[in-house]
Amino acid sequence: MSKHGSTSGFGPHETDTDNLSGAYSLNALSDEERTAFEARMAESDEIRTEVAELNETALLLGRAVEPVQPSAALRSSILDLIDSTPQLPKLEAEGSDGRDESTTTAAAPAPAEKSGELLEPIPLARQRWFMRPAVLLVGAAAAVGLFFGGGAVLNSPQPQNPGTSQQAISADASQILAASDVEHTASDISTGGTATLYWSSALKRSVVVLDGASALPSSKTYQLWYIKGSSVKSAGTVSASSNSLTQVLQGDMAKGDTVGITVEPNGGSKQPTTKPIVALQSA
Amino acid sequence: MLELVSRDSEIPERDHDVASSPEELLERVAEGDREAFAQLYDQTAPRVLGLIKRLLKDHSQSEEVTQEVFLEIWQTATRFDHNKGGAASWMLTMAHRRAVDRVRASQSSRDRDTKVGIRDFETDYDSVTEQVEIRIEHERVERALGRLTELQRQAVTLAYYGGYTHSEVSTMLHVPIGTVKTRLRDGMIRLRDELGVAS
Repeated sequence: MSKHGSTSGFGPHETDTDNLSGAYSLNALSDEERTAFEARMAESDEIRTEVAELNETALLLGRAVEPVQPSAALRSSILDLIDSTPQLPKLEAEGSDGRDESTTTAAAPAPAEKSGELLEPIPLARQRWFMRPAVLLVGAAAAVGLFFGGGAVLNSPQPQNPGTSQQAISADASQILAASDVEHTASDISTGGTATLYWSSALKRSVVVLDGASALPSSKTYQLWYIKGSSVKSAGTVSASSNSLTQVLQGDMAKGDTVGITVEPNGGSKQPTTKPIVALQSA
Repeated sequence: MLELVSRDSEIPERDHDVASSPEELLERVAEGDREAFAQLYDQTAPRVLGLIKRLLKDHSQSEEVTQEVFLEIWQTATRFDHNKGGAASWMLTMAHRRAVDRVRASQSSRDRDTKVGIRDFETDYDSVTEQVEIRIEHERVERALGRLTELQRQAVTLAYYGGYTHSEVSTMLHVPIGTVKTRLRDGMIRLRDELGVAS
């Protein structure tokens, strides 16, 4: 029962990493180990299946815990906070089955009377978070334009984290998005769609959300850049197979960095070879 | 028909007139519905806080983390994937991850006496809850845990309810780290089979 036969099925050379499914499902890995294991997981259906089952098992451990009544103060604090907390834009492409459609149609026609003033007309509310002063965009674009003239030594682009997909956002992304100091700015992409940058100065990390961006031919990729003064660093490439996605930028972000996005040949470039389609300046 | 309705409504809800499922509420939350969010909070916060407090012990720290979790729920409800499981599962998974992050961040809490630590996690398990559903799940899990070897059970319990990394578990149990990895995996596989989690 215990030494499951499936171990041997993991491949010709079962690595130490393959053994980590239990620890992974229990959140008992260090960050580095988790990253390594997730990379391994991306390659193996068998490991993914096992992890899904063990995750569900771990959840039963969580469901067995006795509930604890929170204070009234916590409730009001949280309800206050959401008033000033933006929600992520929806992903339209994937997972829109019948259920999703029924919700949108049910909610869209009219801000239903039943919920009173609590129910806001959503599209407007969402728009508000994505509209930013034009001056910001101009400033950022100018800075990028200035810079993209000159060459620079860049980090070599690294493969995109396989854990990041269009459907579910990664744990890293949610961590940034839910950081207590998260800030955001948004801008239209010159080729269509919107880009929103969320960042946490405490975490020194950022995540970009593309909404309605044009899909690229397979020979091209979007590439993200951290720009500060004369320093431009690749922050990874984005394979936009769907027109909406959430991508955590690679590397540390410093306050005031501008994030630029360019279209590059597949695999990414060491330095930007085209004009940025959008520039987002963190304040 | 009337009978059915009244019997149904006795079980899950205490004070709400009509109870929406967490999934329904989450769908409305994804549309920016604050009232649905408040209802979802009322339904699920005790479980979320219960799990977090199990790891952190300290009540006010646990409430802080609960707040982070609910803000994340608010922000990411738009991305919730119905095909990947229930809303409560999604929320508890998030709660556990954040509780573990917090445990790791506060290094001082790591100085807990090892033996007291282990005893704590095990005896805590006997506490009785009023909610039938939870008690049933609780007993099921307890029975399943009872079928593990002692080392498996300690390793799994310390990792999940203690928020310890496998290397910390290795130190605490005085067994090599490779053994801990293996026990965590075969212990979880055993639990999976005992609890009938199918693929």
